[in-house]
Amino acid sequence: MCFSGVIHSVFHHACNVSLKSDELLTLVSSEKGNFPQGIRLETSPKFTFLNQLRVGQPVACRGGIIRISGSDLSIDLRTASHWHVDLKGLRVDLHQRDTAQAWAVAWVELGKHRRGDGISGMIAAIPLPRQNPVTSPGIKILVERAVQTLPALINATRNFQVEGAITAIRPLIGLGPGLTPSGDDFIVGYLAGLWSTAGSDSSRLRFISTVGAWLSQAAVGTNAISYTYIKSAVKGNISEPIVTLAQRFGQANNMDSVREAAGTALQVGDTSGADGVLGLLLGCIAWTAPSLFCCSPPQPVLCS
Amino acid sequence: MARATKILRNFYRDSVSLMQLSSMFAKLPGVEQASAIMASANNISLLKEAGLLGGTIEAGANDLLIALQGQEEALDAAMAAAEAALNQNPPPVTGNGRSCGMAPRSIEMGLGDMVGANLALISTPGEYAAAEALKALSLGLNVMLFSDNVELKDEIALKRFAQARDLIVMGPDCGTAIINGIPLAFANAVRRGEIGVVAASGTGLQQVTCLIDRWGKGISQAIGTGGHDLHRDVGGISMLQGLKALAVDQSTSVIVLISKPPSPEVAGRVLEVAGGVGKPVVVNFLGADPEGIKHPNLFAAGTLEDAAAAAVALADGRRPEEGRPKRPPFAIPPKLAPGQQYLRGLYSGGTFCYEASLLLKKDLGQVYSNSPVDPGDRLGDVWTSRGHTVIDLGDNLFTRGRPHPMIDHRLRNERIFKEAGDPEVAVILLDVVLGYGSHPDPASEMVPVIQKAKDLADKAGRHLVVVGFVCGTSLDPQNLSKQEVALRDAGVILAESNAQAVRLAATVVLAAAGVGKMP
Repeated sequence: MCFSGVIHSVFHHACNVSLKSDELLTLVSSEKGNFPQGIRLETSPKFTFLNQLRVGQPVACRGGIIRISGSDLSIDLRTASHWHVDLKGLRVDLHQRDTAQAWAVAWVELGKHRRGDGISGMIAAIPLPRQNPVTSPGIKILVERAVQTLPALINATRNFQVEGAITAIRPLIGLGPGLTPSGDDFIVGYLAGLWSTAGSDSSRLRFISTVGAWLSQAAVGTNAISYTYIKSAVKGNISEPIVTLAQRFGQANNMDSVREAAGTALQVGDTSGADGVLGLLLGCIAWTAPSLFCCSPPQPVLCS
Repeated sequence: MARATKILRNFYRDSVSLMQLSSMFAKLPGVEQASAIMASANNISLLKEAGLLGGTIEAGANDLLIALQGQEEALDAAMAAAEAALNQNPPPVTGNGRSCGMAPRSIEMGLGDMVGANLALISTPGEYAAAEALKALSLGLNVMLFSDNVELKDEIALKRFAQARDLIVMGPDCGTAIINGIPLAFANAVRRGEIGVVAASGTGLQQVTCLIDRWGKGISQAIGTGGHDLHRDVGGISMLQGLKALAVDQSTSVIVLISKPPSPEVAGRVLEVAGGVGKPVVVNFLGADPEGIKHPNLFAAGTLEDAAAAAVALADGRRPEEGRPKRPPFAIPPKLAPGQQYLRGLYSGGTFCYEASLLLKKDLGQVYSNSPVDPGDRLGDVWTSRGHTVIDLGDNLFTRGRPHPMIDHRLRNERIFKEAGDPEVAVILLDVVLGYGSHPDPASEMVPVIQKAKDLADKAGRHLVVVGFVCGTSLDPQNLSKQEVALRDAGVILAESNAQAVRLAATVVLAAAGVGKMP
């Protein structure tokens, strides 16, 4: 294993390395879930990247060991285990009663998650948590855009209309608050939903492939961190909290485990978790639920 | 309702931090709407629709955009609070639970710590300095290059690179600058005011800024260019950039240009530009013919002191010649012994030494030096004086392997004592430079040796005259008045400036020779 790069951005529990191939690699501390393009370190509870690394430090991996110039931190990858979940193999099907029930449990958890000004604020059942209109002046517009866009996206997906899907996704790229903007988190979650329900259906796989190819290009319109997540999602590689929730839909004999997974996924970031969960839930229903929105403008209610 | 925006390039903070920032805005008085958001095209469109943005925003998806709307007087404070909050990293925790910091190890890391910084001060060994300067310029930073021994071709390349990006390279070998009131490297604490200085001479800049402060005026900006800037091949790029900056700086009403003799063609170009800036410009090109400066906006000054005085007068709305300082009263020293006839200047400041050479040559004729005005006056052995001699002890010959004499007084002290033992020496001439970077208490280093030198001369039946001046201000950390009192108590005759000290010293020598009278 051989690569070189520089430290791109540093947070308490994560650090991005910009590789010479223009891709980002994410180092995360052990309390975080697994990531695509990520390396999860075994760290002590008090560990923080902020007192280990700074932006601009050169990074090199040679012989399976990552060394960082000017830092005492080195990472031995030689014994690291590889994490991968084949979302396509989950074959989530909301026509199945237990799966639909699990989906509904997650939807209720999302509704109870009273935090964030992201796209998930479109769910009318969730009162917006803002005490003061100063916090996010664009939220009303953001939600209005989402309300217009998301039903169109789901309908285009349902009917395999690539152009329609692209038209619906384009305004979401880089849209909204957060380090990974709300729209991007939704897109990643939505792709997770599509992959989870695609199975071996060639039409679905072709749709994901075609829209994904476009998205890999169009996502340059967002920031480098978000771009990396979207590119990974296009290939079916999604972060562990969302993947775990999708897995629970397929093993839906224990609703508490669904609630727990939903709760974990919703806790990610400020708005990222809720936006990603919303994306996953809507992505799951595009091909496997007979009807979603009963009225327009939509009050997103699942029609069983 | 006013609006304000700030773009922080390639700036990443986690979503929770951004959310906390939004919460902070909600508590600030006078802020109606606010957003801190990644500046993707869709988000810019969102904020425009929300009424927070107008016009074109030059930002990309990797930039953080802060947009505020509210009462005009509240927005500056809100923006400053936002930047402060964003730049404040959560306190890192060590393994034992104690907070600790981590010093940046590259310019990029430093920029990550201080978003919005626009200047990098580079002080590495010369062989690495150009590469670091180029990195800083590429990151959009102006550069102060303290390092010396940077090759001329690298200096030219750096300055052209900077000029193309509307940035400035101060240096190489730029020891002094005062930017936005902050003294950088060897600089003095001066009050802020309306006089801007661009100087290709470090101690020249210090002398002029200190005298301006002493005479009641202040400095808007003092920009060092490095001593080679007015070399023919460099073309005065940094002086022209500095001049351009001061021309449009609303807090600057008078400009002072300082340099050792520039290349004639470069001087011509600089003076042409200076004549057109629309502000009075005082020009002190040491050794240059004042007759060559003929423009209604340009005022030639023969010495650093004259330059400071002219600038102060112009800032007061007076004619430049009305600011010329009066010579201070001078205590007549006891009669010198027969044979005491020479002056020995032992300088820590290169420009002071050069100015002394210029002034003494007029009064005393041949003056030997390691940085002579005429090549024929070069001192063959810099360790041994002959006739009238002035030495720049800051020259590379003396500083190899040891600190600069403004910091380490040992070499000069040895030389003072050596000169005191020479029966032909009548006067020792000294500069004392205060300010940041200099010795914290130079008088404490100099006084014992001056007393010892005087005692040595006394025992030999001679009277050693020591003349000096202190380049410093009452705001400097060394305490100007304390330094002056200690030196006077040791028998040093203190003048207000280098030019005054040189003239006093020359007068003593001439009086001893029966050529002139003591003032």
